Amino acid sequence: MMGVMKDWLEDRAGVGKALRALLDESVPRSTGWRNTLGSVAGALILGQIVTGVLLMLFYVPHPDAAYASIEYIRESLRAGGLILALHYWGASFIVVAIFAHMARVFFSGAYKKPRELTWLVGVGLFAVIMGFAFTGQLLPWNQAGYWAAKVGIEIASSAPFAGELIRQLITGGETLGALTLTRFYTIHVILLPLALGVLVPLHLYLLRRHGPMRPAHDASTDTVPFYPWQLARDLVMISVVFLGLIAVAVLFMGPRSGPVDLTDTSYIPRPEWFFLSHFEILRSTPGSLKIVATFILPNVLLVLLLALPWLDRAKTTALKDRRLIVSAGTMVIASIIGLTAFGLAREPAAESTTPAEDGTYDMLQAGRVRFEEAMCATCHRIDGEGQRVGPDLSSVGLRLKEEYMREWITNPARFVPDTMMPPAKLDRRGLNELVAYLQSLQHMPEE
Amino acid sequence: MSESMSRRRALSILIGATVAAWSTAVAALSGLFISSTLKLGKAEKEVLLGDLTIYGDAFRAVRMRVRVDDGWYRRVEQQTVYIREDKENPSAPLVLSAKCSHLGCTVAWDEARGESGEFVCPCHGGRFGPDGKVLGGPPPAGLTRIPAELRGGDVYLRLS
Repeated sequence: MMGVMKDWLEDRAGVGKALRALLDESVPRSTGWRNTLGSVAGALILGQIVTGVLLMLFYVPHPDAAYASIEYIRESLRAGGLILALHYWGASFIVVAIFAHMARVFFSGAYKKPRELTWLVGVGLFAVIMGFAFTGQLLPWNQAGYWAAKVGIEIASSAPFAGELIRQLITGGETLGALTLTRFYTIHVILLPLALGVLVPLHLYLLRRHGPMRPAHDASTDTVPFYPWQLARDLVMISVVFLGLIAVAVLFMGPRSGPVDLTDTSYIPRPEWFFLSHFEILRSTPGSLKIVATFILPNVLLVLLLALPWLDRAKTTALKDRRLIVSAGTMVIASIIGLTAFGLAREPAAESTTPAEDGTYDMLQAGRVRFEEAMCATCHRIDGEGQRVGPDLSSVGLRLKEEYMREWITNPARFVPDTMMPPAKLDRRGLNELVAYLQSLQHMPEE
Repeated sequence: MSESMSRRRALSILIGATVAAWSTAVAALSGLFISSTLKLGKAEKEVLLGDLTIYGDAFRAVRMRVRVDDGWYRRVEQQTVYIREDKENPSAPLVLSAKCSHLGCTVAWDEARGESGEFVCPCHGGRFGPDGKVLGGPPPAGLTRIPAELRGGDVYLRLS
């Protein structure tokens, strides 16, 4: 029976032939563990797709709901916290895997002719991965993600001439808000995955076309098939890395920061660790050179990365023939690692302040007190608190304009002659505060 | 032969032009749609901050409520400003935006720092004096002074 089905599939689709063509690729005999890094990155990306799709089933991309939906996933769903943590740490693991993969390709000179395009597509994939990291961190709508996105948007909009246009294209409107969240969500869950769907097959096609590079120390022409030895190495590495990822996810879970609060001045924003090297550069660049840190340096690095196959004019891939480029690259890599370590070691104490928080004037808070003092809750209900004699005020800020509300509160009888509602006895300040509070009520009433 | 070649050529141009035309149409439609919520012309907004009694001779943080049209979602965003008496101009208070000129984080007022207090940015360590001028760190410019006006006993701010 199995044999019949196998023959049928072979005849109609040529499955076995395709599989053999895929697995029997000959690779240099010297191919080994160092060549598994790309496969590891690819497997980690597949892992992110699995956890990402699961999270999408419950996540809601709206400022009022995003944080709560993530908390729901974490607290109420079976293995919800683990899946969140796997997705969160998976991003870090991918960044490390890609960094290691690129470093391996750089030092072995594998980007050189005829593999320039494989390198270019790889740099494209690196950019896509950083795009995933940048858009993903905003989605939980917590303090860490909000401020990281805010600073990132400011960096992007420091570009000359088109800065404001870039800012608005990213945020979608006046400020970072609901439109930004749906935009980042769309980019994160469909546009970037589509880009991966194009670039990953292209990267693999180009790899197959030229094969893995024979390292400079391997003078032979010996080859072995990819299957089973190299595939086995790939799977061992992938398994080890995934066990590591699971361990990290279980040990540390996801870091938690509170929901977005623009008024909390005690919160000290810090980027994800893989942006820390740039963070350190931003910190130490004087104001007059801001554009160098935010725009020129990142773009120059990107252009150098793209141009690498043409900058390296050496005839061979041996390190001794590529001293200049290898030392320059080593310096860049060492700087990135050094600055990241420096950023990790830095205590945020230098920025912590002792603000007189009690002195802050918050009209909304004051208005809430006015609402209580005037006993409004004996008739009105807000978010499930208070009586149901008058209208529920949970969403009154969406329904009534400020001026109308002001008039209504001072003289209800003017609008409804036989109303039960007494006119509020408030001075000008009290009225301002109460109206500010009521205007902020924009939730759908709870049943 | 040459007639057939020129026909093939004409056809390939036609195919290219058709693909280009449809691509342009898709790009134009997308651009039109996406640009709906852009506001590139600067609009001014007036915000009621509170009444006269909210400020004195020391800096005080005030939560300013700014109406934001966020697509279909209309929300009130709370932003922090710092307010105190203006010694040179008693008719209106001195109001400083808390938005750092470096990369947009919210600065905190710390009275205990320096001789007469400093604003400190929690992100990249920018420091500003009580007049809003840069004292240290990476900010390229001082804190923005927001024009304030007293009217009928209330403080109004003009945001641009």
